[in-house]
Amino acid sequence: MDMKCIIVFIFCLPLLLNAQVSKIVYDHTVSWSKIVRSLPYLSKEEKDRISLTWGKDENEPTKYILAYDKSQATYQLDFDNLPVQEYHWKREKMLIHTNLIEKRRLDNIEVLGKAFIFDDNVPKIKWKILNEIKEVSGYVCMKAETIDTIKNQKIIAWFTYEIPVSLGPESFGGLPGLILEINKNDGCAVITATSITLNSIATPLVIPKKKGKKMTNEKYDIFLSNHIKESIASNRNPYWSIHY
Amino acid sequence: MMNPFRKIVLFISFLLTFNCLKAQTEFCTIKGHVTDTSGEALSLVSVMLLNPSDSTLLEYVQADEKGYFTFQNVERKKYLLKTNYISYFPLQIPIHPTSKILDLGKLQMTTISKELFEVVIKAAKAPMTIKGDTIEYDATTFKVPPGSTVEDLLRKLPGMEVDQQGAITADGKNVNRVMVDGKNFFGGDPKAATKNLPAEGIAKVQVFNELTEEQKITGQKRLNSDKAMNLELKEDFKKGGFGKIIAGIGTENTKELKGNYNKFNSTHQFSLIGSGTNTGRNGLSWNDYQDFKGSNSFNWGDDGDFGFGNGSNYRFTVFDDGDEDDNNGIGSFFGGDNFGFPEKVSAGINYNFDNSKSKLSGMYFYEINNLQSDAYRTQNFLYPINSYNTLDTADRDNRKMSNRVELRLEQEIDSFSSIIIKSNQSLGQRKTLTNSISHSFTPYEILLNDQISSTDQNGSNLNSQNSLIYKKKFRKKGRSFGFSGAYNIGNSERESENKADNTFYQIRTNIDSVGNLNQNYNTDQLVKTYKANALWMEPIGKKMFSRTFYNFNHGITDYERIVSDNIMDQKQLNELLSRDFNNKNNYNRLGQSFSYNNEGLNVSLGSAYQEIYLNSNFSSKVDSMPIIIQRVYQNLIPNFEIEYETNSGSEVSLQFNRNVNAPNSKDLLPIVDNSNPLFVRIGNPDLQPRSSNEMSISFRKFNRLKFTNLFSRIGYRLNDKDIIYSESIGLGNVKTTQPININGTRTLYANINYNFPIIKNKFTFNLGYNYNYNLDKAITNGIVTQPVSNVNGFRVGSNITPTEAFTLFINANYRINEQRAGVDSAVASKVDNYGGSADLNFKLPKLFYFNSNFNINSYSNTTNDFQSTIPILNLSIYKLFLKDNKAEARLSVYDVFNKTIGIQQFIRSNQISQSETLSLARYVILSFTYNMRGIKSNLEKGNRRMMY
Repeated sequence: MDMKCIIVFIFCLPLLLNAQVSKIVYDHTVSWSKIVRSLPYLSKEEKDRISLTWGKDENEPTKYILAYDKSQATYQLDFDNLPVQEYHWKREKMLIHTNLIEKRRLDNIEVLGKAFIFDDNVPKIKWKILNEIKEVSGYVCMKAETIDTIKNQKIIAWFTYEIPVSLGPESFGGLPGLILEINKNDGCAVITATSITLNSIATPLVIPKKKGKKMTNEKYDIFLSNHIKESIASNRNPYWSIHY
Repeated sequence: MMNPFRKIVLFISFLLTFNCLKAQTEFCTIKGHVTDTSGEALSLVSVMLLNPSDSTLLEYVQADEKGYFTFQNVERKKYLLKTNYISYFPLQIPIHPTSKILDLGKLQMTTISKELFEVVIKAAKAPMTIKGDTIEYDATTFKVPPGSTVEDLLRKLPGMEVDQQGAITADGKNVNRVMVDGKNFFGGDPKAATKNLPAEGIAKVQVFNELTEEQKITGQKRLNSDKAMNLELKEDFKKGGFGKIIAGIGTENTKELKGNYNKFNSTHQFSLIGSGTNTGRNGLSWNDYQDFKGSNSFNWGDDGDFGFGNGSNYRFTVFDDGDEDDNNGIGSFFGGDNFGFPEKVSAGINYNFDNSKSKLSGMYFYEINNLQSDAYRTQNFLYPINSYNTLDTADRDNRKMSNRVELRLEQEIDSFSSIIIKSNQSLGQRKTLTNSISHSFTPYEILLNDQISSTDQNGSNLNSQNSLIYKKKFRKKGRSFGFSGAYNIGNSERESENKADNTFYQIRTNIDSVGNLNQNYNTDQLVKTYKANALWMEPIGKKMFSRTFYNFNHGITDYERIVSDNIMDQKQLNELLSRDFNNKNNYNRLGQSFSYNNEGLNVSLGSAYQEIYLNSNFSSKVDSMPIIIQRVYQNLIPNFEIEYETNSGSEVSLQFNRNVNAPNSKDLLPIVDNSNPLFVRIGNPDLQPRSSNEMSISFRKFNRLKFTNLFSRIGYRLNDKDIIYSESIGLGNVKTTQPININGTRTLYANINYNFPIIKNKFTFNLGYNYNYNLDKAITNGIVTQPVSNVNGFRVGSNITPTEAFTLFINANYRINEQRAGVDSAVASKVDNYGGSADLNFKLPKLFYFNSNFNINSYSNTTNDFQSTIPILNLSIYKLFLKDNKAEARLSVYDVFNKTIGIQQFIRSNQISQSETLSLARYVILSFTYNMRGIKSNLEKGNRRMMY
């Protein structure tokens, strides 16, 4: 090893030690037939027709990665494990970026053809703690529940006190342990941890470049909730065009 | 980094708020020490403070390694304190701090029995619900082999015992009663339920102490009470059954009856459907199709004819005898408007079996389709010289019957490979009686000829299509292999009695000659096709794919036609017109394409080499030697597609493809077919395949936020060696045609559509324009002309849906079709068509609804001064009644003005055709509907079908 390398290594050593990164891979599975059946403007006949025709269809999960070190966390697509297929849709960017020290939300999200960069406090979620436990990916988890009033979703979270980090997939967090599973509206979408690697130094946390307009929590909630309300009123499925 | 000044400001403001709060509320410190029942400290326990009324999480801390925890400076109020530790029951105690420091002392947690914890949590991965110190769990996650009963499932559950006789004990206590979804099952006999119900249908098993009615009232609990068990069924397993029936009767002898019934659970779907109508309306629809076929409605990927990415598959006709037998079988669900007097009866039965590994579907469908019509038709044949017009009236009685059986099996062999086997059989019969009178005139209305004819045609056809598709994936992601094989056989037999009396006139209506025809045709055609296709997909890196495919097709056609002349009630073989024909063809195509796919950019470039080999053998009763034609056509077919999608929902795509179609075998035969004395056909053995090169660009912009949608497309098609039929008009207006190749025919098309709201979901507009330019070639008596047509179509529509109780949809369209006999011809024939529609719906009090539908269409034709405007108004009023609006009574008046007449106009090359068909016009019908699932009462917004 030549001198240059050693110097670089010595300089980087403290950085590496500081940057112990934990990585959790989540499978995000959406059931379109369940989402459609949850639409308020469809008749019972139409809902039955959808579940008869499409209800048995299997939905391929998409992989996402939650990565965090001591100071920040990111949640985004697992770009190395995208499905290999002959046709690629344009995916809307979803980078959930949290500054854990200042508790700031620094997400970069593309939604409905617009790109936003957040700089706001991490929104506080009002969780109810329930008396149920189950195992997810080798960890015993406890059940918590909340309502997303913007997207009209009942959220069930399974968090483990064995990993005392107040994080989870997407923007879910604020529980006394890492959320390993999220279930939205009785299975319309399920996000489950499939692989958990704690405190590894293999790859430091890299924050991708951001692009978009500045956004706040309050404005974003109004933006999203208007779209959902308008879509439902026009008998359109709002969830085709937003991340469920 | 935050700048230091901002930091200081933040700090000061923080102190200020802190002090303010302190002044209002009192704070305290809560501490404690978590141990197990033996007093051993539990390290790093998670401790939470919840709101006692709704369990909302307020604060949490983690205990230290010795189990000590402290909540500093929390609001002094009532809490629910909760601790969590692996394999211990969560501890939950209400606390009420009254002083500045609350020391809870030792908090003891009890362990969950090892058996329960290992079995339920670790092995079955079942969620546990904790109620005090008892546990409930979800049975779905306990894996039992398929076909197991509930009893087998119960044996697996910890704490549950089932003896040889089937008696159940839970926690050592007898289970005397089993309920299903809270209701007694077969008198409550526990064995009846547990031995008969399949385990896979159970969502939850709940065991609870059974209370007598007295105990329920007094609230007293007996310690040794027996247990009861409740089996909660899975939502999707709940047996479903639904159906509906619609019956109507009206004036003009109109009748409608339609019904369907479905029964399903998670693995089986069974359905029946039946429909009968003589109005041509309210028959089977797309929704009925989906209800009927259930999970077998759409089977993407059943197409084993592998080729380029999308579409552009090969097409070639072996032998087209003008037989319109419908082999599709599902056509009756999507039938369009039939002019005339239709009568339609259909019935079907469908069964789908679907577990995760196998999908099996079977269907039988029976159909009768009758149509009686009386039509009056004008045709203009525009030539540089010898133009002529025809007028004909025809009454036709067409009766069709068909039976169809479809079977499909999709079997997963392992997680990498699967197989699809399909077999469809159909048997049909048809009877057509036609009587017609036709006259031909010169443009100056001088009579050229007359024909009075009648045909009585009987036919039957039998088709069998069988295919197998094997698909395999590999460990390498994206690599896949597909193979398909098919064997199709079709047999059609036809017998027809044709009579025609032709009279030919010389100038000034003198009878020149008379030709009478009285013949009997018997045709028998057998077509066998063998197909084999293979596809190999190989990923190149993460963004590229290579696609290699091979198609093989071997077809054999045997055709026999026996023509006999009826002379004095005697049949005499007509040797000149009777003939045998057999044809063998081979088709081979080897193709390769590459695609690049990344973030909305999809590019595909490919090429295929194709070879068509035709071997036709023709013999007639008069020729001593059969005529043999052998042809080999070799072509290279390029294909190019590019699609680019931007972030904002815009998409641009460009396509280029080439299609090569081999000539129809019959056109190649060097024979003269004069079975119709007015229309003689001559084959051409020198025909070359026709190819078309098409390039198109499309653009689409969908703004999901504003609900606007713009779509536009422009394309150009240039045909190479197009096949047209040259015509020569001989004496007495006998037309002789021969297929020939010609270069230079082309089409340019363009359209643009824009949908946008003025007020979202209340008032929206859609606009559309389309253009079509067509340059054709025609050869008449040796003279080549280039007929040109220009079509301009405009469309405007609006949806007005201000409230849930009122909707109005308005549409208008205008279409101008201009035709010139040649590029530089000054005289243009114009065929115009404009129309409009308005659909008005509103809700009246007491579940009464009103619907009206108005359509107006106007047709004009400058060539023969035709002009007709047809306004059709339909009105109906209906009322929903019974519980959940399960019933509907409806009174409808169709065609209030009694104006219905079927008008069809078309203009093509040098021919303009226009027909009027007498059709069922005004009638009043009263109908009743009963729908087990209730009838949707609110009015539709008009775009639902598109958007869910």
